Amino acid sequence: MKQTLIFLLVGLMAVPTPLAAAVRGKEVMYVGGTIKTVPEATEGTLDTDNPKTLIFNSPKGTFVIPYDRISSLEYGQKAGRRLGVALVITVWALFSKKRRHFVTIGFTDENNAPQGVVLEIPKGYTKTTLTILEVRSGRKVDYESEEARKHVHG
Amino acid sequence: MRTAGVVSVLLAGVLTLPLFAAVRGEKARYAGGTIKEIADNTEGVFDQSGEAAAVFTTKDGKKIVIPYKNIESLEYGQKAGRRVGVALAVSPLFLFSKKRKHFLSIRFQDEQGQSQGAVFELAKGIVRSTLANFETRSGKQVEYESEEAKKNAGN
Repeated sequence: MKQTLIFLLVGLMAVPTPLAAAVRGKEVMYVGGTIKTVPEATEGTLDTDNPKTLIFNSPKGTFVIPYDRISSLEYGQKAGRRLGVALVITVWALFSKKRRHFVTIGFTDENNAPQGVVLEIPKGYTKTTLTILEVRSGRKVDYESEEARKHVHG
Repeated sequence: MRTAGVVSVLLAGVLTLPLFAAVRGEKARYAGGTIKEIADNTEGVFDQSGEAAAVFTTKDGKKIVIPYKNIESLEYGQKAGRRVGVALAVSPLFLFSKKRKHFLSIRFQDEQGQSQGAVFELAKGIVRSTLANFETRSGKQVEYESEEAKKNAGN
């Protein structure tokens, strides 16, 4: 019983660590960029309902990107092994990679000043978000690598 | 120790839960895009019997009409993942097998002339026929996201 409790405790401590590092569900993170009204590493949501503007909403602040002012779109990933799960559950988990998805948007604001933001997108919404951005801005996404293009779905 | 084993399997099941969400049979799923009248991740069926347009219809009767002549691009990609959940619960040998999800991204102008983009997940049984149908009727070539996706389309 004691062994089970220790196992559970270690599991609960180790497993959520890598998972908490990536955005989940419909959350999007403003990783950083030239927008200073919102702190870096702020989690929020992306409103794509408006056909004219992309809106990032969070309790810490909001910013708006008009689609017709987008000048560049870039997509990249950070891929890593599932060390936490491997340590706690099974080494077989090392065969699986955890990916984080990043979109960099370059645009000009209403004062024609160049701006750039990096957003982390949850894995289930990467391709659809890129499709919306491409269709509405008329720009093509540049993929940072062939691997990023290949794994855009997650 | 036996309890710990059960807990590990349950934990693994929870962690790999999203992997079981692939569409099956003849179905498709609107994963998302610029069409906001239909919620993301809504399942439905593709009616490709008409010569002028493909129609995606959801359970509650909502439709996405894609006129073939207004299609601007077709893109096919996959999400391939190891069967980690089954491997943990049943046998590590399942790690040698990959489960694939199939996605078709369509850019088109709707009947009102608005630019639209939609991403659909297709059940594996309808991938080849759907791609062939869209290519033939739209006159556009499907772009494959990778060589692996091209090689394994419909697998």
